[in-house]
Formats: sequence, structure tokens, C-alpha cells
Amino acid sequence: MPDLSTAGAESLAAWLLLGSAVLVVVLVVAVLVIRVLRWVADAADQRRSTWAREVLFRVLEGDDVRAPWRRARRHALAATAARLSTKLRGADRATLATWLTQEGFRQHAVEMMHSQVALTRARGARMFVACLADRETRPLLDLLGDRDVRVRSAAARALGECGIDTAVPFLVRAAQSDEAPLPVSVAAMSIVHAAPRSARSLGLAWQSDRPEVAAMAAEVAGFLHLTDARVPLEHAVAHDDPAVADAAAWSLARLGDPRSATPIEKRLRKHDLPVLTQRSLHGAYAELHHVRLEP
Amino acid sequence: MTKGVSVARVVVIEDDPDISLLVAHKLRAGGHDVEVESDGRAGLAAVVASTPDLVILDWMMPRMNGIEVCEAMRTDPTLASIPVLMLTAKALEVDLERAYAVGVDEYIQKPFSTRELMVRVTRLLHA
Repeated sequence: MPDLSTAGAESLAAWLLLGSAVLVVVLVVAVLVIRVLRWVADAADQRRSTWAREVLFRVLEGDDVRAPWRRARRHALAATAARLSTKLRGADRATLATWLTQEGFRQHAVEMMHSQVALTRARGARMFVACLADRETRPLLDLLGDRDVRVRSAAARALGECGIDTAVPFLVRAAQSDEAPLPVSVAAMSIVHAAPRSARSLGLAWQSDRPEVAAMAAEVAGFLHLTDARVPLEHAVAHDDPAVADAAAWSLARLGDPRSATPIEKRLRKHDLPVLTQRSLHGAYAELHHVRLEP
Repeated sequence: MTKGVSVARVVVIEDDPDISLLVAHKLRAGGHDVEVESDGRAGLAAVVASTPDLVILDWMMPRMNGIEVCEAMRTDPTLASIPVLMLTAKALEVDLERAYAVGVDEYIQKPFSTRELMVRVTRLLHA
């Protein structure tokens, strides 16, 4: 007589094995299907992007081109135009912006910027910039106070890409905000792209209660070689926060004014400096004075 | 064709397809024969193979950057006289100095104007 419990266990094991095999097959098929679908979608995106580029190049040539009404193609045109406009300036950018506005993309961007969905608002900000040939940045400045950080960041990047230096004080204010702060790294990159010609644009940042904002101002001033930042940078070298002092020392070295060696030397005489700050200050001093102080 | 300029062979070495295709489009509209490469090494190989009349070169690219491509061209006697126009996002004075130091003939910063680009291309091809 067979042992019923052993037969039952074998049967269960066989079913489990079969179930596992079926599951593996289903998973493999699912992965393959997803890959194929993704490949098809990417290829379609690529085709639409190539088509959109050709349309926009014709627009830049001054040809009379009408935008299609099909959603996917309009979306491809909008995305390609948003990308392309950041790489162009002068008459090319103005031509592109005028055409996008005439074809209703600007109105659509403004509607997107009022969407309930954060990612749509962020995409709207990017699209809006492509339609900007003038200096009407108010809708983007409003988005710097958006409740979603992704939207605030997209608006800041868009403002930077516009290259409008009057946006810089707004970017600084957004970075300092308590309720809806803009990430300092995003603010820094946007300010670098906006390329202010004077350190006065960074005004509020120098006196910020937040050391990371003051450090950003110091770093940006050096990166952009704002020579009128020398005095605020010399004050920033004496800042209690090592990050601010480091950034200020680096920037003073970049500006290369030998007068800045004195405040650096004064700061080095303090004995409670962190090692990294001491190194930054020594490096900047050596750069400015061509002399290395004894540590 | 651009007035006063005969057909020239131009190699565009640029990893951003939006820019390389736009530049190629403008040059072809100007009647020139254009080859596009998307990285420095492939670009240098194209320059060696075709000895073009002009090279338009990005700075920051995969595999070999624009400065290295220009240096390699300037040390090769058969390529040393080919004019190089650098089209780059690098905007600092030190970058400009470095580019001219390795033998770049013209330097245009991104974002750029296609009109300015074509003016400089014409100038280099006439030189």
C-alpha cells in the first residue's frame, strides 16, 4: 500500500515546481514585452524628434510652416523647441519664440503652468521659456514660489536659460525662502547661466542667515569673475561658517587682486580654524601673494 | 550657396544632435559638403580621412575632447593648416586663452547665433 502522505508531498512539490516554472516564463515574457514596447516607444520618439527638428530648422530658415494639431506631434515639437531654444540666441531665438507664440504653444505653456499636476507645471515652465523672445518673465518668477520643489527648480533653470540677469535677485530670494526654498545648487547654476555682470545682483545673499546661501554667493562671484565682489568676499573670508570662508577664499584667488591677501592673512592668524579652511586660505594666499605662509 | 564662397568640405564634431544637425543644415543650405561626428575620436578619424577645408569643434565631448582633437591636428603636418572653429559652452576667459593657445582659429560661445556662425565660417574659408 503506498504511503499517502509521501504521495501528497510529491504531488505538492510537483505543482510548486510547475507553478515556479510558469511564473519564471511569465516574468521572462513580461520583461521581453516591456523591452520591445519601450524600444518601439523610443523609436517613435526618435522619429518624432527628428521630424520636429526638421520643422524647427525650416522655421529658423524663415519658411512658412504650420504646426500640426496631432497631440503627439505637437508634444514632440514643444519638447524639441524647449531644448533647442536654450542653445540659440539673437535672431534665431526670436524667430523660434515668435513662431511658437503664433502657433499657440505659449498659451498652452501658460495653461500648463497653472495645472494641478506638479510635473505638468514644470514642463510648462520649460515650454514657456522657448516662447520668450522678450523679457516677460513674470509667470516664471511666480513659479519660484510654487508649493512643489520640482516646479520651483524648473522655473529657476528656465530663468537661468533665459540669460536675464534681472532674475538674479529673485533667485537669491527664492533660495533664502523659509516656506518654499529653492535648492541652493539649482539657484547657483541658474545664476551662473543668467550671468549677472555685477556682484550687486547677489545683494541679499551676502547677508543671508543661511550659510549655504552666503557660500553660494561667494562661489558664484568667483566663478563669474565679478571683480566688484572683492570687498564682500573679503568680509566673507572672516565668516564663522567654514563653507562660506572656503568659498570666499577660492573666489578671491580667482579674482587675483593682491589687496585680498591682507584679510586672508588676518583670518589665518586665528587658531581655531578647521584644517580644510586653513588649506583653502593658505592656497588663496599663495595664489595672491606668491608666498606661502608658515602653517 | 553663401555669396562668394565656393563649396567647402566641413567636418562638424559635436555630441549634441540638436546643435550638430542645425549647424549641418545651415552649412548644407550654404552649399557646403558636411560630415557630422558625435565624439572627438571619430571626429579626428574623419578629419584625417577627408582633410576638410574647415572643422567645427565642440569642447566637451566623449572619448576625446575638442582641445585634444585640435592639439592632435596641429601636431600633424597634413592637418595643421586646417582652420578650426570652436563652438562651446565654456565661457571663461581662461577657456578662451587655452583654446587659442592650442591653435583654435575662431571661438563661438553657446548659446550661439547661426548668423554669427555663418559669418565666421565664411571668414575662415576665405582666409
